[in-house]
Amino acid sequence: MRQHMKSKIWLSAVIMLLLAGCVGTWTRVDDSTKAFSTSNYQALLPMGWVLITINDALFVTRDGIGIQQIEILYQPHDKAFEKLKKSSSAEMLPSELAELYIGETKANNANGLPSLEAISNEPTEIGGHQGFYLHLKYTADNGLHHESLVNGFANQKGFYVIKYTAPSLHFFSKYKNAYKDVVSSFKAS
Amino acid sequence: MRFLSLFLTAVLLTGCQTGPVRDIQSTADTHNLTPEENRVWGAGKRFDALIAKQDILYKDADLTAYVQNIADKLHPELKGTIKIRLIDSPDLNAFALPNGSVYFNIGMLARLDNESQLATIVAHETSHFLRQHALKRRNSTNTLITAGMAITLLTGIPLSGELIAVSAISGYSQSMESEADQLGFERLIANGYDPSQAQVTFEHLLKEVETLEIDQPYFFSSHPRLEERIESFKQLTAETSKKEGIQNAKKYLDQTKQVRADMLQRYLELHRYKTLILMLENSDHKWHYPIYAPYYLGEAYRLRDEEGDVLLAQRAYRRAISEDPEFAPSYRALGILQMKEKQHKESLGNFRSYLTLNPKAKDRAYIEQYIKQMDSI
Repeated sequence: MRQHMKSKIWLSAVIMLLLAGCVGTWTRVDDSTKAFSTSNYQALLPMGWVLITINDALFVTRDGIGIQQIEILYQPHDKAFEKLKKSSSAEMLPSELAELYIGETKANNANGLPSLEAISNEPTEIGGHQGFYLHLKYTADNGLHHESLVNGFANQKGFYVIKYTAPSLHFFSKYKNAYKDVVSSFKAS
Repeated sequence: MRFLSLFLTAVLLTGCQTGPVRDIQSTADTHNLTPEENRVWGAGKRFDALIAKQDILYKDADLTAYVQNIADKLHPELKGTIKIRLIDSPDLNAFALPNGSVYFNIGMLARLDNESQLATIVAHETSHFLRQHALKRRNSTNTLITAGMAITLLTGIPLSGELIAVSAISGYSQSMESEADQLGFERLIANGYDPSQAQVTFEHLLKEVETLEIDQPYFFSSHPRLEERIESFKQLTAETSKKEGIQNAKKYLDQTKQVRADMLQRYLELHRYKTLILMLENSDHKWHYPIYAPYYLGEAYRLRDEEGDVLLAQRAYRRAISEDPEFAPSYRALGILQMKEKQHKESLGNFRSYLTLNPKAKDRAYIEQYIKQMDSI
């Protein structure tokens, strides 16, 4: 049953990614790919996981999207909160960025994702930048409870998000440390 | 409307109606359904189950019972058949399924002024059910839309956003909507409600459409256009001999008090500042909302961020503090604006008030950091 569910999740993810365009191929994280970098950021990824890039976004998972995933997203300021029609800026307070991030996440859901709740919302430092650290929980359309950890900040170049999401049951706590390692290795270029 | 469109697609997929469609006149009629009726009723039940599974129902038993009582009052002959459910969504929307389930978004409830306006929408939706419009509509729907929606329904993958957008406005036909308006209006009058409020209900919807610059899709915005429907209700009101009736404004506002407070917070979280300004700038409606509501108006000005809005926001926060000195978020919001304006002394005072009133604030660490930064200047 679990295998069947995993297969469905993988199939959906692959179809969605193919439809999205500008998709790379899944690559296993090994010694040669562990140190990942783009023109906007660099980070060390968990060994043995698989990664894929879509435009300038990176997704890394061990067992499949929907089981656990770490995302690194970079957006130019004018694209940071498109649904809210708001831009980010380097001058914004971390608490304002966190507020906008939560608003954008809710606005991206048809019903405003009423179940989304911030368990904690704190200031933090990411690669030398003042930013926010969010612990979120929400219930997906299928009734499954999920949790996310989100680190975000803005610099002169744009808005950066490093996010970890997994179902609350069993998976979330299991791979938190892998996420923390990615965050601590992160540097904006 | 998204749910209604999905539902109508599901109904269309169940086959075609071949004979004339009767009206549902009482609960007894539901005991001997034709095979075609059975199919759409089954689809309605499946749709109910789908919504229940999505965990999007607003679980307020008292409020649900209140709306249910209005439906039962309008249709005593269908008591037990028409079932009201509330959806936890901020959008202005409502829809009926052919098995008698009627869904209301709480966003709609938060925006009406009285029971007569609510009854207008209940009566409109239940009229779709009485006339079995879902069953009648099956023969006349665009095949292309159906195909697109079918793919979405079956796979869960929105293969064509345009198709969905088009189908979302398809709803019922113009004649069916007009028929539901007329029939609903007659029910409203027969039950002693104020006929003038039917038109006001649609004026509320029109204001929302204009404020949010919504074109399509939107509840009630098509088939026919809102302006035409307002005119139509004006005419119906002019033609009826009854000029007054029940409004039950106080009762309605008491029943929906919590929903109104919840919606202010939801609109803020969704950054729907235009809606908040529409709701709160009208001082005649001041008593519709909690006493601390000016805080939300201040937040709306802050988010709108046009010239002069900083000043308007500060004034609104101060008014919120004056109206409800125990409401902590007003101090925080004012403190942040003052910090940005380099009014550090005032900002520090407001941040400290915020933390005193809300010592377990989730954002305490930010505020302490801001206090520390200003203290060190």
